[in-house]
Amino acid sequence: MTTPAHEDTHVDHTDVPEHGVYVPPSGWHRWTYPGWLRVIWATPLFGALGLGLVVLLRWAASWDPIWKWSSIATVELTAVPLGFLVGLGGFDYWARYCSGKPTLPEDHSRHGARSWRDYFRINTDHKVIGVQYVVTTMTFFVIGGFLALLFRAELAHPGDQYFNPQTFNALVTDHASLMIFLVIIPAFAGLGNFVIPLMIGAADMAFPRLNALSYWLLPIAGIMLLVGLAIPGGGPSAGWTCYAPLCQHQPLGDVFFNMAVQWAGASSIMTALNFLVTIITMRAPGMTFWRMPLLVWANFTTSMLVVLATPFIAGSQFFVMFDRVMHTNFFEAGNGGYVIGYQHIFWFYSHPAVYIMILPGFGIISEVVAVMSRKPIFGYRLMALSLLAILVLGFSVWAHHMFVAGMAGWLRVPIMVTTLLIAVPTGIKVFSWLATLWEGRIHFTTSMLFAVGFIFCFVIGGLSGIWLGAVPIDIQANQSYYIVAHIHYVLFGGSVFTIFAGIYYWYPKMTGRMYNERLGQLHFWLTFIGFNLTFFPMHYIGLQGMPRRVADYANRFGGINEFISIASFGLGASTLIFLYNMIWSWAHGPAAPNNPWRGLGIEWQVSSPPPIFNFEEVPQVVGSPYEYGVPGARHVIFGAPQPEPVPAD
Amino acid sequence: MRNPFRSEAEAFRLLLGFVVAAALIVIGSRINVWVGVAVAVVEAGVVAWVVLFRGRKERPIMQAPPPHPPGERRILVIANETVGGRALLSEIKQRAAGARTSVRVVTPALNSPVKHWTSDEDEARAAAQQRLDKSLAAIRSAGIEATGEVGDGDPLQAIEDALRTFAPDELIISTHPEGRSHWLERGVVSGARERFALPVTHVVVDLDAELKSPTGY
Amino acid sequence: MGYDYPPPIHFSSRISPVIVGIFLFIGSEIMLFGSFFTVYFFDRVVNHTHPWPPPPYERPVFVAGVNTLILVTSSFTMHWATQSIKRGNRAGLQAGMVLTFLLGLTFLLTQVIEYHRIGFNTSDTSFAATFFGLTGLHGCHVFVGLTILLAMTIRSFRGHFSPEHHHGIEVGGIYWHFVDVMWIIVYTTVYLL
Repeated sequence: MTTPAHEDTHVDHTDVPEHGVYVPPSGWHRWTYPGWLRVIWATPLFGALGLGLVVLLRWAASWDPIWKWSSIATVELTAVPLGFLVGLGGFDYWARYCSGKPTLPEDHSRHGARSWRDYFRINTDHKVIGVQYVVTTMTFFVIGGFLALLFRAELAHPGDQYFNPQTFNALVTDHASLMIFLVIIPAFAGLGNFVIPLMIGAADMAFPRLNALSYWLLPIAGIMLLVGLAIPGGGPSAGWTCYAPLCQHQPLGDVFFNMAVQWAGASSIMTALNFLVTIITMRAPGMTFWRMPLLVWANFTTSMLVVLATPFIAGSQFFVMFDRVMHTNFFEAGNGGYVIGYQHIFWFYSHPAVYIMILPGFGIISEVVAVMSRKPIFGYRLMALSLLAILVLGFSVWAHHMFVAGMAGWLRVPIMVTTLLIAVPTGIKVFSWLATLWEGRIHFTTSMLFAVGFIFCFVIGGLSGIWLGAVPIDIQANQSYYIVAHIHYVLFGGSVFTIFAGIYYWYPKMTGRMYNERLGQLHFWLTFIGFNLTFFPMHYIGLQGMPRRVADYANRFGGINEFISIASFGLGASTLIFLYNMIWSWAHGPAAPNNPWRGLGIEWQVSSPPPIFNFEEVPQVVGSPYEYGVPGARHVIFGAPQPEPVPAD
Repeated sequence: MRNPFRSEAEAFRLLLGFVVAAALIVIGSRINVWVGVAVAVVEAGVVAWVVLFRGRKERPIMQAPPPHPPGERRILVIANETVGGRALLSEIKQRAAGARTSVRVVTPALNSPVKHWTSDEDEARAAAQQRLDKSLAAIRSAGIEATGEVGDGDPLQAIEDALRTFAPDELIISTHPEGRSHWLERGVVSGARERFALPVTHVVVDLDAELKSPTGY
Repeated sequence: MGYDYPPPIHFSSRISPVIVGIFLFIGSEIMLFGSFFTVYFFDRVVNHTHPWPPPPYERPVFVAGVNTLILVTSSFTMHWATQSIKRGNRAGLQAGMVLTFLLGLTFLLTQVIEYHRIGFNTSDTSFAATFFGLTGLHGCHVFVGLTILLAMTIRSFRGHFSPEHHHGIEVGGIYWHFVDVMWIIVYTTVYLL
């Protein structure tokens, strides 16, 4: 028979011996069972091991000084989170597997969440992980937004009022880093995690344990960024872009940025691998690629982008860290390094990153617009193909972030051409949504309001992007507030609006409760108005010459900046309505029906929230997911006997 | 095109190919840098040719129909514009004689290539629905229990969907004579025989000939 | 919620998910190496650094060449191990795994010794940066590969794996072949070109 590591915590089902049942540990075993008690001693243990390793090596090699903080910080920022993950139990199964011990019987009795405690442990249920992601990312959204309000307070008047420039730069850096790596990218991962297995008729993701681990890397990265702010010497203040040669000569806090990016990147890649394998290998019978909902297509292409592009930012951060800690000369011009190489390598990821940050949003909007207009999505195949086109073209435009960086001049026009070209598939999508809305029977629920608001704001952001794609305009507008306006129109008016749309749309499914529709609509209007009042004037002051990332500016920009700061506080306040609605409704909202939006997708055919294992038996797909208004059309059937595969002879 | 990345054995073969390719490039470069470049280009061409033209298409998995409640015989009919043809109707009558039979007629919403890729299906569906209605009327007037639906534009996909929803015992595919087939219908009969473990009857309906001789068979 | 276990998994493709997963993971690792090759390209080609390596540094081409042969041989033994377990030959599996591990270990140790004897260190110009960067990144992958090989070896000796269930060996084998292919590219770029 099997010999479980925690024999007292596992009792086999006598009727089905391959499935175990959880028995809570008692006595001193509570300290060795994976969980927070074990984290308490495993984390400092790994920290001590890391520290000891560095100090011992430096002493044995007689390197001076033995206590070199940059080396120690780099190693500790790997060891301590590793200890945390080990303590929590992220590697338990693999440790048993690799050591050759028989693995424990699959314990489905702890699958899913029955109490709030289940959200705070290594949980392999994709629905729990999805909620963990969304709650964590919304928390970092609030924190990142709060940092923005801090520096908007500083920017309300010319001159330095509250923060010295170094601190200001740290606030700006962390605001952007949190929003990009800890909010937008993982929020889509979280929504996708919850919805996609349900949408394709799978019981879970392909690699549930990897899924659980990939979630826990996220709070690690976020805490690292925030702790970095408090490090003596100053926080990371070279911008989220952290260009060489500035970056290597930053105070110690910058190491926290470099490492946080690595942890967030690793989380992102693991999730993307999971999505790709799940979508490729676990679709329900009858769901061909051309019958997948567009959210699945969007996450598929996004995951391809993540898997192929994220290693480049990992590389760029490695080089900066090596230059700092091991005194290499990757980017030191005096010693044979090629300084602008950092920018090429960094942007080769960071441009696809913006597509990573918007494509899942496109998928969400396609879902919402089709359901809420009661019409099939217009041009489904071209929508899917345009996603693939953006995937391919997205790798060809990185240098448009470097038009004024001093790179090889000949590169500018070809990159301008590819940049303008990528507007075509994006335009196909916008026209498709508009055509879907056209003559539809539109229901303006909160998610639909955000979807329409998204189309409005994203088109504005896209237009400013087209201007910026033209080299002569970029020469004028680069590194000015025009860029700040553009990025926020596409990232807030774009991505964040789609995240809100997705959260409102799937809230009943995820929580089993209906949110308060009036508060939702209020949230939308306040956000929409506050957002436009905050960011639209930035186009103007940018073209007038106000640079970005400055704590102080010319007096002539004072009036508009004061206006923007006040508007931004309004925008911040609107988020409170969202938080209140989400939290209160989860606790006290009315129970949600299975299918409040009368959607055809598979996720709407199960209860709200879904059963712990999603489906009793595998559903079968017999039609397209968007046949709204077509009498008798079915996307999926349940309960029918399945065709049997005939073994090949 | 077959996905080459399926197992460790294929990874190993890839490695061997790589070692040989790299060795050739290095030897070529030692002779002359441009020889090395030329070798690399030739190798890239060979790889492209193998990947694009020599990848074998995989045989599809054959599916057997699921069981249905006993006591009746179920016939699935797939037909396009030929759905009103007399040859098809007489075949159906022949096969339905005797046991209690239920017939499901599926008319795939065949579409032009441009409209297929722009997902412009409304006309195709409406046309298929019209043909379906006429055909159902004819079958029912012969006293046979018949239902019908407009199917996916791809006839093989339409058959698979009906396999799940109708669980037929046999399949009748009706097409135009050779040479007049729609682009989506090419290979549908052989494809159906490959993919579905069902007896398949292929009925060729020559609508032109039927128009000319109103009473002939 | 009247059921306690998930429904049987439906596989929509005939490739096993773990195999798809490892090949995609290797795709991302290739891109990571790509970023290191990119910085090498910038520091050597775009920067017009001549001669390369800048004097007085020299590269141990011969020792690394022998190391290449060792690593390639280890791929052969790895393949042999996989083929053995497919045919039910447990002794072949165990021997193949042990040999692969030892050959891989030899490779890594030789590289470490060469690092000691090489005569330059990380801060000596961008040549050293890219040299240690590329070979070091590869060395890290070898280290991870050796850990995986060790786990597989331990499991083969503990009676795991069978002709029907040997995904552990396959996945590890695929990773090891990737490490080998990458070494050939790294060796050619860093030592020969």
